[in-house]
Amino acid sequence: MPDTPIRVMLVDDHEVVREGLKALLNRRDTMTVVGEAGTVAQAIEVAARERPDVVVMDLRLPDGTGIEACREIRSQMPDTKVIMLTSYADEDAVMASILGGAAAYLLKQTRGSQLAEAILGVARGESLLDPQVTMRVLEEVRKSASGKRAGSPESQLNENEQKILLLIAEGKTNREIAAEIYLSDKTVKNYVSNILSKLNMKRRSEAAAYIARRTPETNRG
Amino acid sequence: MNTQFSNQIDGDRTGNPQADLMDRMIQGLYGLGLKLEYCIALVDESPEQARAGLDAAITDLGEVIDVMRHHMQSLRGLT
Repeated sequence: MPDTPIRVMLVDDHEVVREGLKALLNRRDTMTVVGEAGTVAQAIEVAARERPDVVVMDLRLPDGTGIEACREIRSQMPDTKVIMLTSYADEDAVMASILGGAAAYLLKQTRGSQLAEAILGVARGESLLDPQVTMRVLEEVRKSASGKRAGSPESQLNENEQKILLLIAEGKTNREIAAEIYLSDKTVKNYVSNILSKLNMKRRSEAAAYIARRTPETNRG
Repeated sequence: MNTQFSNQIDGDRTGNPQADLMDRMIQGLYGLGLKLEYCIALVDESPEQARAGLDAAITDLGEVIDVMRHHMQSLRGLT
């Protein structure tokens, strides 16, 4: 057991979830909730101020994704661990979360007591995947290990992501991309953030430059 | 009913009403589950608080049902 309680921060735009988690976690001597946020911007601001040991992060936030917030917080405070706590088990979100530096990925049906154990675990440096998502992730890893390893970085991208990457390279905005492929702006934004994360890039201009370099007819070098 | 949870009905966040409804339902039910788990923890040390918590949980459940009904009706164009 740590000498001082683990400092926990909760990021979720649903107050009913934050309140429930706070009440359960604060009952324990081993941890204390030191901050809360409901948006990506707030999460980054509160994390910088409170410097939590562990952040419990929702995936879907009004102004962006929890993955973006995770990446930003981890780049400023590499010792802070992030647990994604979300309604979604799709493999893209799981992979993007792991690549974004999350230490754990749990579904919103995890009991408060299990989440508390996960918080203690990641604080000790462990990683944790919800059993329901583990199978999907293993499948994804096996897929990328068999045959795709020698491929180009964009072979990590799924079909939609590859399509969107090419549209980014054409200089299209999220709104234009959304109109072209019949998805919402928000979904496109999530895709773009996953693409950048998978390609280990920070800005869409880097992705555009990468495609320009890779495509022979635009290769001026 | 004009509560935190009900207020979220009108926010269109993805442009996909079904996905939004699903998200709100899961958040509401997950929050409710956490509240019930808290009540279990309180049963021995403070039965009165546990009872109040259960009462609040039933109110929350009613709100979740309201949200679902409201949303389904608006999808069908009945409101």
